[in-house]
Amino acid sequence: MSQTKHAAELCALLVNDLYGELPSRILIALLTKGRSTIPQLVQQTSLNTRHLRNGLGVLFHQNLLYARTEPGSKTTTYEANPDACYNLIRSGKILEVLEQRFGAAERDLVQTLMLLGHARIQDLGQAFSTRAPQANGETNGSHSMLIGSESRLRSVLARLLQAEIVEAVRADTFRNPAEVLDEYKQEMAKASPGDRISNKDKIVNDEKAAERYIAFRDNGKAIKRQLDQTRGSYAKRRKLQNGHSTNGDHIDDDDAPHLNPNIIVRVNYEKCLVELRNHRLVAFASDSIGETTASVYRTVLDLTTAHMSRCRIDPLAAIKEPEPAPITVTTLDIFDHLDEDIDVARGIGKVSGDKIDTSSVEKVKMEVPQSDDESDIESDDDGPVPNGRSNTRPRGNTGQHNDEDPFSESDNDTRTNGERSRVTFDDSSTNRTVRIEQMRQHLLLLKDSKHRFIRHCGTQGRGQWTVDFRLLLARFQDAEMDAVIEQSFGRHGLRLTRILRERGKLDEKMLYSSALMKKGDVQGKMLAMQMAGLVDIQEVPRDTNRLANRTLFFWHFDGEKTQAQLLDDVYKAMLRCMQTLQVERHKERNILSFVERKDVQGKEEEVMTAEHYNKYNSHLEVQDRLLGQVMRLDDMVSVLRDF
Amino acid sequence: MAPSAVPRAVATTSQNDSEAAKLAVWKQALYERVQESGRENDAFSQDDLIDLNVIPNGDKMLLIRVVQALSDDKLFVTMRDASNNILWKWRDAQEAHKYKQLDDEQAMVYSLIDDSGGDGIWSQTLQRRLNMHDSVLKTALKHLQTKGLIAPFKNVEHPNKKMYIKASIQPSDRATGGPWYTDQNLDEAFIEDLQRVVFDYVKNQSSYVSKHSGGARTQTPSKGVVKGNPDRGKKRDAREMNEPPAKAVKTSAASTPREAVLLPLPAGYTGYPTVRDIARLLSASGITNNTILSESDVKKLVDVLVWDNLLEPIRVAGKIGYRVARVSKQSTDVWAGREDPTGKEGQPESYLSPYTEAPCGRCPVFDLCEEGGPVGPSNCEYFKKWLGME
Repeated sequence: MSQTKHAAELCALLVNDLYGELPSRILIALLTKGRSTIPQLVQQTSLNTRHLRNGLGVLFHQNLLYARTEPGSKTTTYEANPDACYNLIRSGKILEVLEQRFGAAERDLVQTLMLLGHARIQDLGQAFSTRAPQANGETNGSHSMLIGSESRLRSVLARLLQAEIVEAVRADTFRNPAEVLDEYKQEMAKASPGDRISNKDKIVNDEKAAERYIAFRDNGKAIKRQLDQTRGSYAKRRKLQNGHSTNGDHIDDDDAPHLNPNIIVRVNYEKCLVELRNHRLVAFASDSIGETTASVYRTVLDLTTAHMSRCRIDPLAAIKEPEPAPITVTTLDIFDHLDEDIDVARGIGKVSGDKIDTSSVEKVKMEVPQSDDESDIESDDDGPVPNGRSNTRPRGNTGQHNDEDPFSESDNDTRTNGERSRVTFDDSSTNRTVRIEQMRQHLLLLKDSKHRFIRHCGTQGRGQWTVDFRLLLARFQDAEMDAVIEQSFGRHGLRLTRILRERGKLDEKMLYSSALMKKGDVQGKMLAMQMAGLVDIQEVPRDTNRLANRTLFFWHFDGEKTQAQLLDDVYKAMLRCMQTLQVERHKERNILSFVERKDVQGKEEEVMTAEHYNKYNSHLEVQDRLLGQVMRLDDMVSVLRDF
Repeated sequence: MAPSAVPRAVATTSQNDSEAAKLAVWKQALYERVQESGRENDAFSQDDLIDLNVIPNGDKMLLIRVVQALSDDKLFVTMRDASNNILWKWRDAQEAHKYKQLDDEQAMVYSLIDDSGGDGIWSQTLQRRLNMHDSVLKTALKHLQTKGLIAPFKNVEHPNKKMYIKASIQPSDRATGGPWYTDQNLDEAFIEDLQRVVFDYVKNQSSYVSKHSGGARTQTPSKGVVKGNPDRGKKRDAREMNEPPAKAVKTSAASTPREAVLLPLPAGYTGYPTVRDIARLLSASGITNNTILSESDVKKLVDVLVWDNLLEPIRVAGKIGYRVARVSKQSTDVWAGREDPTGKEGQPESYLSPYTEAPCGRCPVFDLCEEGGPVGPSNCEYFKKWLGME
């Protein structure tokens, strides 16, 4: 992956911040010069070999490097892993999300793993057993949350392994995946007979290589599969202990599995990103619809992504790994996993039943929409409607259909709201029906949103739902971009770019007549945006003379370019925030070095003079502000690049 | 006018009258037949004219003489089609009379202006087409103006060009710019105000004002995830759903101090206003006192609001309605009719980007910013201000 200057600088700065200057200098050399051996690095960094080895050791331990020793020669080459470096910034966020999703013990373990980079299970056990007695008083006091015993550690670790948050490390994990794939391809080419390789053979070879690559990549998950077999899959367990899984105090430690103490584990950031993405999408749903709906959405996302190991398809394995079939969940499933404290009756306005058009609400879309145009607004495709259910079902499961029918009829009656005429005797079951129906309303709202958070893709189990992540994320990216454009160029700038995006290339005349703006204003805005690189002009001469008055000028908006540019600008902004923080630290270095003293830590207020203490506090505020801003910018980077 | 049978009868009988009288009758007959054929803007070829059965025996010589006479009277206009065949069009008698008053130059100028119709014609184009001397053209135009046949006007598409139009017709929508233009200028204040009215209307129609959710909002962190909020309290009874929404609005307006929030309406709601609804509202409210907005005009207005990310289209039951975007973040205040020069108050809330909130996103010298350069993180004024250190 090629890095822009700002991204590389940011990586180096992050490493500098966390692990000191030595590793950072080596990293800069690696990022700028590419793959190098130690002698080459000596030349580039003017460090001596001993220092260099120390620095590389740190980087290696934190998984920030790719390393490769050629089997023939004894030399080892090193290469920076910019994604891993960037992920350092997300540590805090990942921990927060994991604590919400799994519990404090899991968070604690992942935090330890993050500090260590990678560690043997045995060593982890030792670390926790020595730390446990004195540590919990200091951290957060909640006794039962933390890992106290060996068996507890193992059960927590098993849980994380099964959720793919933690993965096993082998020697070849440190190889650059692109390189591994290349090597496989070469091997395939060598193995195939004949000197000339036809195109067809090449494709077959590439596929085989990709297959091997996938096997290589998923090697680290062998332990997960093993655990799934012995303990039952993660999703199942979660279902069993529904409602309690969030606060780990309940888990019985007796069933702690046996884990080979020599296995080395580390944090799997790819899966963590999936969790972060869920978190972001929930925030996005909350922003565009409402909080209650967002919390229902949270459940949907947790269910659909339980087995998703990465946000995007691995580009290296793309030929052999087609877009995974969308995971569907049923309304009843969602309901079973929904947090009972969520009041699903909230968050949606009330209208009388005759104002609801059930048929268009319940429209089922079996197919993944191909593109992101607003086709379902323009076209009148009458998708199958559940009232005519029997036609829409695949023929194979008619038996099931019959079994279910009386049930689904009854839910048709009670669908919309209000007028529930059924007399019920069993209170709790009514409550359940009502609650399911209310939750369903939230699901429908998510489906109906402009952003299409979920898709209604079937009718079994009172409706099946799925999330089209690729399209949803594309819309999310557009929303982020729109926000930037709106705030930098105003409502009018946004309007003009949206027109161009919707209609393609446009003549200036068309532009101002559809935007209802003055010609001069349009020209000024477009010029400003052209300077910023958002829009560009294309000249189409009407004849061979290329005279200006015989030429058509078309404006167009280049979304991809704008996005790439925005991403780089965000890197730069993050970099500047971090640098400003360093400048501030340098300014206050006297106070800060004083605070770092062992005898001052914890009782700053007593020891320091009032003036210094105030200065210290205001510095902390500045730091919070800057780091908070960096985190928010990282949210943008995630959306634009990773999710 | 005589019925069509009469001139034919006349045409077949009188053979011995004088040539001039005969010609006059043919003329009259042909002109009427052409008018009656009902093809107002259609051109007639020679064959078409013969097929009208006015000229006996398809006598082409006679036809030529008749057509020539009609052309002299300006009742027929001669033209050519793409393959250079000669065609004729008829002209209204009144119009023809106007032409007859004019001398040659004036008639030429007038006919070009006439042809340009509601869009008008630029004086330079006239000159280029007619290849006249400047002063001749000017006098002709002046003459026509004093006779009240043409009028100068301004076309919004070319505000700097001197345009002429026939005095008897209204400039076309393209030339005036439709209802959005007042005195050939885009009426931005009018458009802006209309947009606000439309936005407020759609917001009211597409959201539900809730007074009791205020509590829930304050409890939840802004980050959005609600996981097991302990004091979320009792579930409300399902019967509450039956309570008419209007009541809630009325009673709480006076009593509750809590801030009202807007809630989305359930999926499949059919009451989202359509373009027609909005157009009806605008015409009923009388905001647009002397301009009439057609549905397509209103559609333009709504489209702009959609592009501004303020409204979003939604298809329910086969028709496209509009609802407000990010409904739960919008305030319940009205946007329109505020005496606020900045226009910030009551403005719809839009999605804020973290990038533009910090100094870098708005920095005018962001491209120059580099450590060690003239501007850089160590001497950044904007960061200082943002961090409150000055």
